Parts: sequence; C-alpha cells; structure tokens
Amino acid sequence: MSDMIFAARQVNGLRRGIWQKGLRLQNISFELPAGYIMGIVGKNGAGKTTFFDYIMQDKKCYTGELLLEGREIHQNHQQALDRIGFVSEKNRFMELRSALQNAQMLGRFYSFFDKELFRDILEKGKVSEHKIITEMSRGEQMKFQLAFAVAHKPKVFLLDEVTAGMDPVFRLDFYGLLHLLIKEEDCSVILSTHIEEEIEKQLDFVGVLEEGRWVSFGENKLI
Amino acid sequence: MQIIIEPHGTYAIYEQIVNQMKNAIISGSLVANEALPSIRGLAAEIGVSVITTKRAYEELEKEGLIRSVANKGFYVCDYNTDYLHEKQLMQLEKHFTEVIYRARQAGMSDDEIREMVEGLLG
Amino acid sequence: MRKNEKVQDEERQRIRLRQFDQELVSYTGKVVWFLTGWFSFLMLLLICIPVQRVTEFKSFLVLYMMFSIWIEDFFLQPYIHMADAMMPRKGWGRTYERLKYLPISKKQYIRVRLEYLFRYLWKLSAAGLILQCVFSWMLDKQLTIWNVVYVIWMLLVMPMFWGWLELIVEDA
Repeated sequence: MSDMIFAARQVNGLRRGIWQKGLRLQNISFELPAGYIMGIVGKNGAGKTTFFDYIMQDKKCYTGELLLEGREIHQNHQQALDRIGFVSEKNRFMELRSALQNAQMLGRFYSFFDKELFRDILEKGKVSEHKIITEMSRGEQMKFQLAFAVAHKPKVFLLDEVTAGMDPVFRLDFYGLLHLLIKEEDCSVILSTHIEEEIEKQLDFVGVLEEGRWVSFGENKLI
Repeated sequence: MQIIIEPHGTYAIYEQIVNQMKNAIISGSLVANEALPSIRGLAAEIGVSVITTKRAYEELEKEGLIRSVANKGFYVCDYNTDYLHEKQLMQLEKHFTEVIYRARQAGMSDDEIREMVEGLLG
Repeated sequence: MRKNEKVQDEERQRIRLRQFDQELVSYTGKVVWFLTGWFSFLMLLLICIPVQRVTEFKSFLVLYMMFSIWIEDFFLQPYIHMADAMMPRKGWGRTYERLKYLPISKKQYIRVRLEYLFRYLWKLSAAGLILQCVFSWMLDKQLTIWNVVYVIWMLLVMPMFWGWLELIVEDA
C-alpha cells in the first residue's frame, strides 16, 4: 500500500437526503501506483463526476476509505486538497479576473505554488495570461485549470472530462503534458473519459462504472 | 526509428510495437547494444500508455531480442548479429540452390559448376 | 507536536484568507459600505431609547431584529459575494464557491469573517452603550444592568448570531 499514491477501499456512498438527487456509488476499490494514468470510464450519468465529488467535498459522504499516500483524505481534508489538482467544469474560479490574477489570488492557499511554472504552461498552451476567465473558450479554460493545478505540484490529478468536445490537437497536447507530469513517477492521474480512442491508447489502468456500480478495475487490456 | 501505431489495426498496440521493433533489429536499423528509449520516453513519444510500452518491452525481452540493465534501461541484444548472420546465410543458401538448379538446367555438370565458382573466387 | 502543527497551519490559513480578502474587497462597490453605515446610524438612533421605555415602543424591537439581520448581511456582502454587492444573486457571485476546492477549511473561512464582523460590532456596541447609558441617566436618572444587557444583545449578540448563521448555511 505504501507505494500506492491513491487507493479506494470499499467505498460506498452514504444514503443521501431525499432532497439531494444524484447517484450513490457502490463498491469502489482500486489501487493506483505513482506514475500512471488511470481512467474512469462509463456512460454519461454512470457516476464519474460523482466519484470526484466524493473526493473533493468537504464532508465525508461515504463509508470505506479514500487514501492519498496512505492517508484517508477526510481525516485532514485541507491537507489532502493541497496535494490534489482538480480540473473540472465544476471548479469555479474568479471569473471576472484574468488567469494571472487568479493565480495570484488563489495560488497563495497552497503550501507550494510556482507562478512561473503556471505562466510557462499557459504560454505553451498559447493562452494569454491576461485573458479574463469568462472570455475564454472551454479549451482555454481547461488549459488554465491545468496550468493552475500543475503549478502546485499535486500528488494526484483529478481530471473530469477535460477532453470532451475538444479537437485532436488539444488531446494530443493534453496527453503529451500528462506524460511529462508522470515521468518522474511522483504523481498520478485519474481522469474520466468516454472517448474510445483515448481509452484504448492512453490509459494504463481502467475502472468501469455502470450506474454507480464499480464493475471492474485493472490494467488496460484493451491494447 | 519511427514507430507508427494503427489504433484500430488487427494487432493490439503492444503487438504492433513488438513487430516493428523486431523488424528494425533484424534489418539492422537497430544495432547490437544500442540503447533503446525508456519505457516512459517511448510511451510519451508515440502517445500511448506506459503499460503498453512496458508490455512490448517485456515481450521483446522474452524473445531474447533486447535485455534490461538495472537502473540503465533497455539495450538491443548481441544475439541479433548472429541471428542476422544466420538469416543472411539462409538467404544465400537459397540463392545458391537456385543458381545450381539453373546451371544444371543449362546442362552444366557438377565439376563445371565448381570450376566456374573457383574461377570467380580467384 | 501534531496539535501545535495544526494550530500553526490554521493560523497560516487565516493569514492567507485575510490577504485574499483584502484583494477581494478592493473590487466591491462602495454602496455596500454606505448601507452598512446608514443602518448602523439608525441603530444607534434607536438605541438611545432607554431599555425601561422600550415596552412603549414594541414595534421598534421588530425594527431592531430586522436591522440586526441587515447590518450583518451588508457588512459581510463584500466577503461573501464577489460581484458588485448590489447585485448579489447573479449566479457566479459567491466567494465560497471559489474557495471550496482550495486547501482552506470552512471553519477558518467562517472564523475570519466573523472576526471582521466582531471587530465592527464591538465598536458599534461601545458607541451604543455610551448612548444608552447617557440617555437612560438623562431621562430617568436610572442605570441598571439591563441597559448593558440590552445593548450587548441588540448590537452584538444578535448580529453576530445572524452572521454566523449566514456563513454556516453556505453550501451546507
């Protein structure tokens, strides 16, 4: 377990109140070593985003354990969030400010934030750091969030449907970046996708969700 | 060398890598003791998962075409020069067999054939 | 040593929040501060009525309740909403939404804002206390513990409570 950068042990969603809609995830268990890309695949609505919610939410809404570097993330959630890089449409930033202003205002909360690295990645992605968030296209917003996440050197990246609706060039650059990030084998990536080609080619590990149920997990056999 | 992957080809991606590398070794574009790209480097280069290249290298190692050196990476085996040579000999033997057959067809005797060869070797 | 680390970490979170808030508030419309000032002024006016006479003006108590909710609401606006505080319900307004995936605990987030509120309210209460005591003495030659309790309750406890409630309820 010690070399597993992220693991789930018998995670079952708690029964939510009647007013809260949403899937209840069942029976999630997996281990992810450092330096690999894991994909959570399933149809839309199967529960992929819900899984990320379980991790990112302030309150522990499941039984079982979600372990980051061996520690349950909700034991000290802030410390866990310090080491998680989250990219998703759900992740809100200061929409009326520029990319750089966001990095300046929000980056300070991390124990480590490399502003130069942030600017570098943004530049490589050809996104102007002075562009206001609301004026960015979806692709640019994703690139911004990625740059922001990379800048605080997380142990695990949670990427929620980042490539959905993006062109092949974006996807190529995206996976190129991921390979660079995991090269040193000190972090891993958990991403959700439903794009066949990506699933076949790019994923080291695959976990399948079907209507909230964790159906399988293992090394990518589709190659 | 360039490895080209057909994502929807008949062969699995790792098999395609194995085949292409094998051909490169046999044809000599990858020479004996040449250092191969790391598993992660290759994965990043062709744009596939690390598990894929890992599996491909494991397969090539099993077939004895490459070897792994601890903390250094993968290298092409010496084995291939012999293999190459053997293959070359086999090819030549085939050529010789054909020439002898043609010579006999043309009506030459075995002694005449030997004379011709020695004259050419001269 | 674990506990000490935790305390230091929490203090660090608060420092960063305060720095963040300084930048956040610089974008606020000035109208909010005006409204806070205006309601504070009205409350100070009303607190001039000595507690022993308040029963004659029960309707003022209702007014007080409303004011105490408004004061804390207007005061906290620049910290709770990012956009111009006069249009707070415009979708992408809430600060908490931007901070919830960052390594800050909700507890520290609430504590820092309540600290701002408290710093304002105790000054307001001090002013109110002086006014209440002066008027109570001038009009009725009377000064009891109830004058003090009344001011503390109306100008400190109630607005703090409503402020705390408002912060707790965010993304419950």
